[in-house]
Amino acid sequence: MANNLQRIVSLSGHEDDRIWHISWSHNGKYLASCGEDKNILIWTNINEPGNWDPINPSDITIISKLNEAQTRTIRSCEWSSDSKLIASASFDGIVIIWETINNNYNNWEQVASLEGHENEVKSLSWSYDNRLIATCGRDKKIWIWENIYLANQVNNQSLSSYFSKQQPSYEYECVATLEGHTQDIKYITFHNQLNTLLFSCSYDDTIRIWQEDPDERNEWSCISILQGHTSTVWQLSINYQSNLLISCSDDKNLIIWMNNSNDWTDSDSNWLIVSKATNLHKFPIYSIDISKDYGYIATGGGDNTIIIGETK
Amino acid sequence: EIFEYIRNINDPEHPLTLEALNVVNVDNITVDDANNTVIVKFTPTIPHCSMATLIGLCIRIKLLRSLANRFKITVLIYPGSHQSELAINKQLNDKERVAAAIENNHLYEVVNKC
Repeated sequence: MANNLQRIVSLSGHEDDRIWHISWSHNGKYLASCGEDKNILIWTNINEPGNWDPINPSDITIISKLNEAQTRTIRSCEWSSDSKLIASASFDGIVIIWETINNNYNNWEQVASLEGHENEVKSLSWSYDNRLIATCGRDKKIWIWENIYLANQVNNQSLSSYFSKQQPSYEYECVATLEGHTQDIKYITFHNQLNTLLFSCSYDDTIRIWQEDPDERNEWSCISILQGHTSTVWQLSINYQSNLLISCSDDKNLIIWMNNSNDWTDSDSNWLIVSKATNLHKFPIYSIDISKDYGYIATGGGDNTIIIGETK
Repeated sequence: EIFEYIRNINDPEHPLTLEALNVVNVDNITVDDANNTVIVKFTPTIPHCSMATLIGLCIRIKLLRSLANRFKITVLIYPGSHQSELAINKQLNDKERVAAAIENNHLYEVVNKC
């Protein structure tokens, strides 16, 4: 890639309203965007889903609009790992789950509505097995929602086939609320492979790591508080293979953290700051992501700039 | 010029404009046209003024509506003029908090009256 990035296409669909979040489906074929207009748009290459660099850029187009579900800005939307469901988090305090009807991505229906947050929901994350959804927002709490059908599957693995004949359903219940952050929680993510580890970052300038008690289902506790930023931490990204956690903040810095053991669930292990990038952006850094396959880090800042760095 | 946009905002508590109350002053506005930045420092009427955040939000919204998109707006309490200066500055410059506040119907009405 070196120093040559070329824009493929600019997609317009949200009128003049702010777009707050975008999310790629895990199968690489679809892009979901959401924002101030209270809509989620699904984009794809209509001729060749998955090819994001077509000869004709206008092949990339909207195939579905998920609307009239939320009454305020949709701040975030995320795909389930099987690319069939999308959960959206809104300033209206509600999280809505949509499902494609018969695998047709032009057609979606609302299958669940998670209510409980006391005010704006800002971020959400699916566990790798889609059994859990973690949500966070201005009420300073992390809410954990469990899919009852999938929970029963886990519980009743050794029971008779009667249970396995239950229809998949989208009933969720709130199984835990995690308290600890002292301010608005901006972002949350599960570990990519473990549904027992959760990472959150906040307006309280800290990052917290939470773990589910191995002996007690749905009992979560905070196992680590990472302090180093001097203002709101907007986002973080993890690369467990390289043992790295990178965070970005309103303080205009990026911090690279490393765990001194390879077992992140070991509460005796420590997180240390290995590096701080202070001169990347002259404005708050709102977004950061690590591309595990290619060794790149991307950051987006309030200076209207995206910076791509290489990890060595 | 920025001063023109904000001088006539009405203080939510008193029937006077921010200019009349000396909450905003042309000397406390810094514009860097080349770098697209505008910084407004305002002085709440009293050091524990409970309306300070609201006034700051009004200033911010007025500027958002009046200025070209390219400008990055920073609204700050004039240093030393309020006891919760840091906390208020943080809220006023958190774009997500500001966006949610603007969208909040109740606040929207209050702000529009200013």
